[in-house]
Amino acid sequence: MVKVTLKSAEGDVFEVDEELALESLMVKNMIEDVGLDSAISLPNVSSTILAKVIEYIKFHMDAQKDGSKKTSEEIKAFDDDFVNVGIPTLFEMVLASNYLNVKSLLSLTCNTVANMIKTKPPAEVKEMFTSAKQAKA
Amino acid sequence: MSMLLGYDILVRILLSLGWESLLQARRVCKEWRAIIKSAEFKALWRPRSSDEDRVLLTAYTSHWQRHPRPLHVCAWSPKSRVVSPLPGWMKLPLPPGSFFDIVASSAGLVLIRQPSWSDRETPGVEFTVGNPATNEWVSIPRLDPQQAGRIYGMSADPATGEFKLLDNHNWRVYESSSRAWGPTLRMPAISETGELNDNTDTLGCLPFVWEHKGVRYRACAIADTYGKVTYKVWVWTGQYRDVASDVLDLYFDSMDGAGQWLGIASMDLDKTGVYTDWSMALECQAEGNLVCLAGQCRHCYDDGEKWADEGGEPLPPVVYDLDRDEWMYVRAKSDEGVQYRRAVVYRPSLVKPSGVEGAVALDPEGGEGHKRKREQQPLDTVARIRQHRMRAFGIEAEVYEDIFFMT
Repeated sequence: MVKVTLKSAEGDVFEVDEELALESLMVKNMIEDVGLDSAISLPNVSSTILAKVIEYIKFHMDAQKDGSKKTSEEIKAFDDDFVNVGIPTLFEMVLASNYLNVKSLLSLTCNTVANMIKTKPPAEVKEMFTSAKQAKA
Repeated sequence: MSMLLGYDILVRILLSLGWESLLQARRVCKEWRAIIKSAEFKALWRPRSSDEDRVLLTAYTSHWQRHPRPLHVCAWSPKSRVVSPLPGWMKLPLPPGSFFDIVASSAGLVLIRQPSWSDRETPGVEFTVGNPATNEWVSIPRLDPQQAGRIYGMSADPATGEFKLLDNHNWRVYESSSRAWGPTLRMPAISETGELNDNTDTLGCLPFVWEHKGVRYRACAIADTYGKVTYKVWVWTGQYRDVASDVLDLYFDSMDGAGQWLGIASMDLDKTGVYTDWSMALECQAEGNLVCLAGQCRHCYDDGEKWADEGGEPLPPVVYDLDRDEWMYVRAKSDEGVQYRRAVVYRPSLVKPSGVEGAVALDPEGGEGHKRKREQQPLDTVARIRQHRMRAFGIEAEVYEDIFFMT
């Protein structure tokens, strides 16, 4: 199987199946433009987040394959667990999925943020965003 | 704060929120508020699903030997099919207990009518148009001279907040663009075949025209010569002038070219348990997939001498769901001592009624943002004076009305 090399912001190298890499429309476009020979550099995505994104795509690709025994409950449990992270990480995942153009992950993470806004009073939402900003700074 | 996620993603997230969450989100910070209030956002945002539509009901006393009076406004949901108090985010510019009813609704705006029972010198009604979700209200200049009205229509433009009001008793139309009442032609009724005619003496009902999923519909109640009343919904089969950014004409068919009104649903009025006479006044209004018809017998208690609209025996409101082809009655339990008469379909929106300058918040409970514009004061001042007087005399509301205004 053809491998694609992805390079995170820190310069860490991730070698993944081409099929998996194509789930990112941004990477897909890059491959079409520059080919598979050189590593694809992703300066906006940190290693931790890139590893998470790869984990997410891998799980969902396996789940969609024929013969997969994963039930929709298991998939939902994975998704719930996947976004059950700190606010700064969640925001980074929103940005990464937007940058990498992974539609399903973008809607999952955006829905998670939307649910937080829905369930929290305005003051807490503000606090949530302020703390994420400080964490980033 | 948008720097954190980027403007586009923030807007995407906010657009996915339902109505009640957006009201909360507006209070997070100035930037979010500005986004949510912007015309671009309003144009993109859509209500989550039809289950957010509600039918607003005005409950009346069920003492029909006396004069029926509005008691309070409540909401009926087509999903749960139960009547419940108004949700907390819905604000009305009049305190609970004051006499008013919601007589029309369009694109998230409602028309409130307050009969001047409390003012003997100048009988008539006061109108207020506003958005109960954003708590923005505008008083409508009084129509003078004025007879007690019964049937009203309203049509609002969701993009600009411009609206038209129709007083079907005085044959006047109010246009927010000119801020003035003007004359209108006598309203036509609709015959059995769906043709417009002017011959029905026994039934007053304005045909209501609206759009749902790109198709134009019309609904009305029609009466036959024996007094049988049928609720009917038609669909327009031909082309029509694109009035998407215009205020839909309520009662005149602005259809172009070939086409016809095709009856798609009908139901006979169920008069079980209701005292009806031969003459009725019905209101018809729709929003999205829901059509609402409600009304009263016209002459039961209405002798034209009393102040404002005395009304008559209410007919139970009926709601038709276009998508599910289902008719539903909204009846009060017989032991509750209330009847529902006015009923309008209401869909929350972000539209600001034309004519509101700046932010106006009327909060009857006196919470935050307790700002009042001068022109809006008479509305609740009247109610407050009335309450003070009642307290001073130490008597029940209904007795008070009889002593002071009905003698």
